[in-house]
Amino acid sequence: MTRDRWGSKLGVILAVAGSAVGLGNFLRFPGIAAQNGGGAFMIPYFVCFFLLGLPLMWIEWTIGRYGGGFEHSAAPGIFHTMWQKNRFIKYFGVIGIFGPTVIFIYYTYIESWLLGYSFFALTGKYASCTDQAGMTSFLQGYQGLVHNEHFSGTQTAYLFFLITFALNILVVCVGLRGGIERVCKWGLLALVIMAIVIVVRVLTLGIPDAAKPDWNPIAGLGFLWNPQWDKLKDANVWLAAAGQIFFTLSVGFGVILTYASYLTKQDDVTLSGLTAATTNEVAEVILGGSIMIPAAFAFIGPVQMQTIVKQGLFDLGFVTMPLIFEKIVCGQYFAFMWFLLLFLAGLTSSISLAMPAIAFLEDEFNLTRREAAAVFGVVSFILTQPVIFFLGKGVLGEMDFWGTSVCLVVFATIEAVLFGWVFGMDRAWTEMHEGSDIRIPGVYRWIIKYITPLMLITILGMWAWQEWKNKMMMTDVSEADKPFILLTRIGLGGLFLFLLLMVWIVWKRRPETKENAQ
Amino acid sequence: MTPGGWIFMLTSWTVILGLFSYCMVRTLGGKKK
Repeated sequence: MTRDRWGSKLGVILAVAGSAVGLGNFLRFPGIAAQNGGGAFMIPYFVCFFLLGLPLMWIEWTIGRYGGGFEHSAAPGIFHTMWQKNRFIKYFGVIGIFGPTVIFIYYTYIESWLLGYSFFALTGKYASCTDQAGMTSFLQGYQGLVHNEHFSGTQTAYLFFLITFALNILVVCVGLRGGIERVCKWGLLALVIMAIVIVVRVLTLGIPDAAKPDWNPIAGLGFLWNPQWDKLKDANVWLAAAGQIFFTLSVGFGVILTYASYLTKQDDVTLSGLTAATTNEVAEVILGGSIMIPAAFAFIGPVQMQTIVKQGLFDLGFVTMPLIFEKIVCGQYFAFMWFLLLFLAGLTSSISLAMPAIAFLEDEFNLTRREAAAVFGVVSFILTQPVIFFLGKGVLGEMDFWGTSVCLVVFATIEAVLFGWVFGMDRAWTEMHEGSDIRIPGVYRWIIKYITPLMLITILGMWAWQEWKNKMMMTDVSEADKPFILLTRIGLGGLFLFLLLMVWIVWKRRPETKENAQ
Repeated sequence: MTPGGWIFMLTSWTVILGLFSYCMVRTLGGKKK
């Protein structure tokens, strides 16, 4: 079977950037920054970007391309090629399939809300909701959490979910060039244009309420950027910055490994990794930081703004923003653009989340792309049903915890140690610069070997110390929800064991591994 | 917005846009493979 390849260098960069640019850029970043020191947050943010995000980006591009040379596109095979003497390392690679698959399961459902809302914005479906309570009720009705005058169940949400899910599977079915590459190129371009239009509109809002001249978009930027120095002494601010860098760059998911595995040995990874990372930063810091907070500040003021930011950032995006757009001229078109840009950001990310599992099925079970996408589609479709029908029971939050909080950091720690210590820094450095268009500064040899793994182990340790006991004991879960959380954990555990079994079967069935055969 | 806020915002934007421009020029201007 001929191995799939990217059509162009820019294509693969935009695919990785598309994976990185997601809901977190526009919904998560502004709130996290405002909560954790404003402008001062950018100090730990940039420190984590250069010491954690960028090194992991280069590590994933490099080991992905290396593993692709042995026709492996998923973490189990890639890890095995890097440490062939260790017969257990491939099982650690399962995290790189399990994590993105779990995230895909709930992410596509959230993504479908955005498609639904962009449709509602154009048709004026929520136009009768004129305050925060009304719009919250609309959202809860749409999610099936309550029955109200807007919705009587999850039928509408389910319809948009089916469209979104089918679109995701269709794109990955078509393949790298015609599917993923094309969607990411045009999707990112459309997203950036729409984001720029909205940023310009938001920053030129002036003073919406003449009685409150302090409520304006520039003061809203101040809410985000004015430095609060005392926050820098708080370890949680540094943890928040590290978490945001992880989440935003898509490192630790296993998706960059898969995308990079379709490169050839002569393709650059150093400049490509840096370009993908900086493209994401433009979308996050410049565009993402200039929409939601300044607009909300100008219309609802600092006090209510603080309250909403603390409650949850999705509320700001789904509840407050539509209300704000209702108050400006041609607001329905701006609201449409807002939700469509979020949908496109979600789509370019979710297709990447599907790829590690699909690539694993293709490479290790010799399935065609369509067969692998069909198997993945059926399994993930079934697993999404509890997320849809038990949304109010905390199933989605539980999946998010295991998929992002746990898998990301654990997987990144494994790959950083594997790369710098097992594969060996000299060999890793040579591999990284094979076909490279830029040379990485020498100081990164030291950073990749010592600083990045040390930071990851510290994050893992601090997180375990602060969160693990509460999470495991479900101390913050109501008695009514506990059975649902427990069943979700059993289901996720079953999925993980099933993936371990699949890896065991593959290697048992084929004692002559691909790398030995070469 | 305070002067500190402006400094942080404009410095962050400059760093990011500078890196992005450098990368794009190198990527788009690089040799075709």
